[in-house]
Amino acid sequence: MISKRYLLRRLTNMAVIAYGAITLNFFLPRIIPGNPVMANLFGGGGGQIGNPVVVRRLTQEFGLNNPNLLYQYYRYLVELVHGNLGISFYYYPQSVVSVIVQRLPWTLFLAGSGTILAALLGIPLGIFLAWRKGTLPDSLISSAGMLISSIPYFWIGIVLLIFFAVDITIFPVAHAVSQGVTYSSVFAYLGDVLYHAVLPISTLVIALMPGYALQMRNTMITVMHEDYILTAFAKGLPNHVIKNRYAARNAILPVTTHVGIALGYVVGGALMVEYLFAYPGLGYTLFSAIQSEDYPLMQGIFLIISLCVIFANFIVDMIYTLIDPRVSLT
Amino acid sequence: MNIQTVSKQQSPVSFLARRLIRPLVPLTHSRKFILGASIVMFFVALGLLGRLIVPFGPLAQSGAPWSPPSARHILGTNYLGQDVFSWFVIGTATSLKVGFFVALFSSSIGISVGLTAGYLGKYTDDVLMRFVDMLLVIPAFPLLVILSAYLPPTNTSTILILSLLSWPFMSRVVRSQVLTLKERGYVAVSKLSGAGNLSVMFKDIFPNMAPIIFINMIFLVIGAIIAQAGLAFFGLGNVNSINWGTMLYWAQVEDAAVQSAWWWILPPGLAIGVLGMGLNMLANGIAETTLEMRMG
Repeated sequence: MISKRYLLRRLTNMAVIAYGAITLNFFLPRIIPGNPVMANLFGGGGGQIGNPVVVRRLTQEFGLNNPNLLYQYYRYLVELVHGNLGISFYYYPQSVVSVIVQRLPWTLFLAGSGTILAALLGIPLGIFLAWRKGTLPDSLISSAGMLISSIPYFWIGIVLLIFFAVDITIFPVAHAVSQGVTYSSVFAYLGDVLYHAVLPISTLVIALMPGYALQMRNTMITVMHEDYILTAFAKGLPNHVIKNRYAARNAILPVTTHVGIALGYVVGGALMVEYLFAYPGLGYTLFSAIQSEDYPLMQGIFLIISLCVIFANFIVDMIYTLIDPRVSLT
Repeated sequence: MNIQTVSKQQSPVSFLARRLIRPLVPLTHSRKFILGASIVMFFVALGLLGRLIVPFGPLAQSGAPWSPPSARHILGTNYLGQDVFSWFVIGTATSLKVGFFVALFSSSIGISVGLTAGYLGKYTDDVLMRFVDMLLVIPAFPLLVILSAYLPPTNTSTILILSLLSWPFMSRVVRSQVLTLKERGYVAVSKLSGAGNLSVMFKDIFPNMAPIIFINMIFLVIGAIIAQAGLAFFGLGNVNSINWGTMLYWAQVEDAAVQSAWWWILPPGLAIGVLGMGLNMLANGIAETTLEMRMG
């Protein structure tokens, strides 16, 4: 059980970090010198950039013609509470929020299933390697893991793309669903979605798995030096019981933390993979926002992604407490 | 008696050299360290001497576009008919430079914050660590992307941005080290003999965590090289600079994947992977050796 006091502390912590991200998002465009667009927009006076209608509306809603920074901050918070992150320059007349709401599910789908699959495959692999520590399979797979975890995510994606979408055309090169197709049923649609998601998700799984596996391996090797493992061997317990119930079970906790810490990286990786596969999530949108200098959209994406990761971290914390009740007692 | 006279006659230079080299000797027994160091040295040499061995100027059109590897072009040519091998070799220097400077700058920030928080404790520690926690949770990549979009697209901006965002983990490691080290007897002795805060921090505590700091600097180098490649791939930073990241950016922009031009795509990615593996081995070698020394 999670104690109320612990839950409250974690919630406060999450709120503080979320507030920090919100504040950072406000100050970023204002403190960085040298960008004429931002200077024009946020320096007061409303400029000649972007769509003049949009600029006028942004200036009005966010109090940009008032040079008082505190007032601007107040307007920003008020609009944020009302769910207003401004209007996109590029997708005008759509608001930033409506653009993000359409794209966010795709990113969550990629990042979420990538993380879960990688953990489900990586943890057993780590157990296998730790149990055979020092053997040929262990040193080979561990070195390969170190190599892969240093390679940028998107590069793995490019290689998969060449192999499976260009050389042998098994999987589609781009997009989340087939273009200009009407589906006979919901299942046909879902099938098409999964078919398009195979390469992007495989990219994430290949990139993430070594990290989880190596972490699991190293922690389990440490655990296997503990006295209770020796006792278990001395008692004559079967190997698989020692491996799974004694060693792996106690080693899995730090890996859970690792999953939490890695979430930020996963999202970053998912953003790049989306760009590579022209997948219609936030990463692809972020890229087109950069290309078209759509600053309100960029900021909105940054804020929403940050809030999602902060929330996901909170969830991982809670899961951790359920696995290891000792945490909430401290 | 004899030994003492010998050591007294040593010149200060050789004394300093000995102090610096002696701790490194046990490392030569670690196979991982040697292998890792060789890989890293290979890339450093390539970065430093690359200009002398490239067959063509990387920007010169030296062959037909999209030609696969041949005797003339070891790694083929790109969409403009430029020599990919020359791009790769010249690009090594920039990628290494970014990794090195980011590790240097961000660890300076991380070490200062960690030392201050751990040594002063109380409110300073609370405030600094809250801030560090926030930076650790907020996803770095979107933040990097936004900052790069605002700043002028130069390599200096990229180094600056990566340095400003990479230090939090280092400060956490340093802080936890300080918390254990400051309880040691020799710190108490220094304090009793009247040493000030700064002197205790830098003369007693800092030298004792040198290996851990160095290991984390190595991880910062890898992280920075990967992050720079990612930003470049997104078209951020200076896309006209020649480095491993911009190689992949142009390959993507010009649809090298669709052309099956693997000779343009494989080298930069594999190089990042192999260099990362080498740096990892270096770090592991140091970690294992220093751990053995403490135990034994």
